[in-house]
Amino acid sequence: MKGLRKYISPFSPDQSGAASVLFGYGGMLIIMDAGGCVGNVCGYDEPRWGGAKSAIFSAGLRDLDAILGRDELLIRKIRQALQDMDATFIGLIGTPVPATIATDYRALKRLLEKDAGIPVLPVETNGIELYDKGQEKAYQWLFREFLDESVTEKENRVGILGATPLDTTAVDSGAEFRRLVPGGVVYGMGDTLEDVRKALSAERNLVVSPSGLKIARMLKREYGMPYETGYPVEAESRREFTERILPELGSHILIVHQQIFANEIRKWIRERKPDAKVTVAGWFRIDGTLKEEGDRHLDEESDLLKLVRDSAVDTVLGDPLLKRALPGWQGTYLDLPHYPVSGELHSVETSRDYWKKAGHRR
Amino acid sequence: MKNAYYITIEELLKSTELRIPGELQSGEHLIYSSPATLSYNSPGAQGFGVKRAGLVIPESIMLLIAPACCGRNTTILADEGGYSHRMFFLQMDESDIVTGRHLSEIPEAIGEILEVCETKPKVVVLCITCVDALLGTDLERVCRKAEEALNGEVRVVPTYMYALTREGKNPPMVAVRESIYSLLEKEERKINQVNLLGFFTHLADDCELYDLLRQIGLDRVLEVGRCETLEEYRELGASNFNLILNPESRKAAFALEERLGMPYAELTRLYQIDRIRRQYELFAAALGTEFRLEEYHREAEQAVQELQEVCKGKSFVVGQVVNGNPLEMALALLKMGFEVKSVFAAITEEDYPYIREIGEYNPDLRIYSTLSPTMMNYDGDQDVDISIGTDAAFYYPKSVNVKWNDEIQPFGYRGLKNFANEVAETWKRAAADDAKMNETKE
Repeated sequence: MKGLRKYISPFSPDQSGAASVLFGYGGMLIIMDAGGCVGNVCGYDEPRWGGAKSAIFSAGLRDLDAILGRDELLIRKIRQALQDMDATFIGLIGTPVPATIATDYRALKRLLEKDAGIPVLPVETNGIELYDKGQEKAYQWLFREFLDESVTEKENRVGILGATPLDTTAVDSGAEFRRLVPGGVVYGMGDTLEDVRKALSAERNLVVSPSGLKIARMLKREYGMPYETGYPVEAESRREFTERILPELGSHILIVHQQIFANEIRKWIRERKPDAKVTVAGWFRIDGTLKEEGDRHLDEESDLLKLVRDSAVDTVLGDPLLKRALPGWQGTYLDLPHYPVSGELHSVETSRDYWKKAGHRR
Repeated sequence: MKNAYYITIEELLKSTELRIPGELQSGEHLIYSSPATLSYNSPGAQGFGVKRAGLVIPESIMLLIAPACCGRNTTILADEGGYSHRMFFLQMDESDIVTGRHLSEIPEAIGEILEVCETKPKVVVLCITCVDALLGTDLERVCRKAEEALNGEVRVVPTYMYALTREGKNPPMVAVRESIYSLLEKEERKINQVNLLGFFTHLADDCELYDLLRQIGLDRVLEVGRCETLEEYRELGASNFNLILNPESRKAAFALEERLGMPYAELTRLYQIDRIRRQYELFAAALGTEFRLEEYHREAEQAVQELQEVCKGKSFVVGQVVNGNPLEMALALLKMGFEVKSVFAAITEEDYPYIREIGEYNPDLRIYSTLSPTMMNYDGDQDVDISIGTDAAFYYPKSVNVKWNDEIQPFGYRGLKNFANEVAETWKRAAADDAKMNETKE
C-alpha cells in the first residue's frame, strides 16, 4: 500500500538534508515549524549538533500564525534574535506547516533582506520529500547567493559536492576527503562561505552523492566547470572491508545506499569478483546517468522485498534497520549503515570506525 | 550581542502587573534549539512524547499518519524504548494534503498492519500531526469509520501530535492524556478503588501514597502505567474517584467526570516537607478522615538532615527536565538552607506563589528560559556545585549532576526522601572520585 511503513520508520526528510548543507556556514537557520521538526532535525539527523554551538531555531509557529499568515510576527522575532547574534545569512527551511498554508518564501526573502540587511536563503522543503532533495535545494540557494561569478583565476582546488554527515560514513569524512583529494574543498563539511564564493576557482568538482549532481551540472553548464563522480576511501579501509565481505558474497548482490557510495562498493566487488551480478537500489535519488541495467529506485517499503525475491538476490548490503523489511528472506545480510536510515543507532565517530563496523553479517 | 536573558526573582516581583516577560514566553520569540531542550521542545520528544504516551494503552499499536518528517525521531526513540514493533506509519504525500485521500486509506492500512503483527493488538491508536490540524481533520469520525470497516475487530483511538497548539487550551500532552482514558466505560462503582492520573508510568513502589490510601479503605489503587492487558485497563472505569497528580491530566479527569460521573481530587507533587504534610492533612480532612503520617514524615526529615550535612554550603541550580516543578524544588532547597543560584523554567501564573516565597529567601535567584535565542550567548558566569536535571547539566557542565528524571515517578514524602538521598549519594561519590583523582596525581 502506498506510503505504508510496517517494518521501517521514516528516513531523514528534506528539511534535515537542507539543514545539513547549511549547518556549518555561520548562518541563522530557522526551521519554519512549531517546534517538533526542529527537534527531529537537530536531535536525530545532525550528528554535529550536540558538539557545536549552532544557531538553529524553530520559528515557533502557532495555530493562529498559520491560519492568519502572520509573517510580520515572524519577521519581528527574527529581527529580535538577530540582535542577540552575528549571522552571515538567514536560512529559512520549510516544513509541512508552511507547505500546507502555501507560505510565500520569495516575499519573505524580500521583506527579511530589507529588514535584516543580510542574505536570506529560502529553502522550500516540505517534510514529505527525502533528505537528498532538501540538500539539492540548499546547494542551489547557497551557490546562487554566494558564488562570485567574477572569479576566473584557477587555483589548485577540487570542489567536493554532496558531502554531509547524511551522505558519508562519519562526521570526519570531510577531513578524510581533504586528505585523499589534493586541494579538496568539501562544501558543507569544514569549508567557509569564502570557499563557496571562490567556487569557480576550482579546476573541477567531485560529486560524492547524488544530491550534489544538480549543482555540479549547473556549474558545468553555466561556467564550464567539469565534474566527476566517486567516493574516495582510504586504501587500508577499502582493503579491510573488501576482504571481510568477499567470503560472504553470493551470486546476486544488492547494495542499498546512496547511489554514488553504492556504485563505489560495486566497483570494489567487481575488481575482486568480476562475474558477480551487483545491483544498486534505494529510496533516495537514483540518477539515470549513473545507473546500470537492473539498478532501480524503490518507492515503497515493500519494493525491497519484491526486488530481492523477483531478482533472486542472495546477498544484501544495506543499513541494519532495512533488514526488518525483508521478513522471511533467507539470504545473507551485510551491514552498511546509512545515517538517513538508522541515524545514531548505527553511527560511528570516524570513517575508520565505519569501515571496521561495516560488512559484518547481521 | 546580548548576554543570555534572565530575570531575577526581585525584578520579576517588582513588576506591579506580575506579567511574565516575553523573553520567558516561547510564543514571543524564535525558539532556540539546544541539547538542553531536546526532551521537551516537541510533542514527539524524548521520554514520553505523544507517540510513546499513546502506546500506554495496553495491547495497543500506533499508526502515525503524517508527512515522513513527523516520524523521523521514532527511528531512534522507538528502538531505544523497545516499542518499535508497535509503531507503524502511513506517510502522506503532497496530493494527500490537497485531497485528504490518506484518511480514506486508514482502514485498509490497519488491515495490512494486523496481518503482520505477531501478537494481534486490541487497540489501534491513530496519531495525526500539524498538517491535519490545519486541514481540520475530524479524527474521531475517521476512527469510528475505521472501527466499522474493520467490523469492530479492534478499537480505534484518536491522538493528536499538534505542536502548533502547544500554548493553547488543549496542548498535545494534555490531549493525549484524555485520549488514553477515552476507552474507559461506565462500570459498577467499587468504593475501595481509586485511579491515579497524571503519569504514563507509575509511582515508585515505595511511595507512601499507596499506604495512605489503604489506611482509609482505598485498597485498590489503579494506574494505567501498571496495566498490562486491556482488561486490567478497563477496570479503571469502576473506580470511586480519580486522583490527579499532574495538572496536565486535569482535562482527562474533567472528561471522565462528565462521561462516567467519576469525581476527582488533586494533589500536587511537592518537595517542601511542611507542604507535603499540610497537603495530606487537607486531603484527609476533605475526605473526613486522617492519615498516619508520622513515620513517613520522620524518614523524610532524616534524609533532608543528612543532605544538609553532606552538602553543607553547596550551591544548586535546578533545571526544567526534572520530576517536579523546578521553582517548587528550588524553594524546597532554599528552605533546607542551600543556596540556589538559578532555575530554568517556563514559568506560568500558577508559579507565582512559589516565586513570591523564593523572594524571601533569595531575591537574586535567576530565572532562565532554555528556549530563549539569547541562550546562544550563555557564558556560564556562575559557579555551581550541584545541578538538578539534564538541561541544567548542559549549562553547568562542571557541576555534579543529579538527573532526577526517572520514568518511575517520585511523589510525596518518599519522593523527597529519595531525592535527598540521591543528591547526597551523588555528591559523596563525586567527592570520593575527586579525592581519588587527586591522590593519583600526587
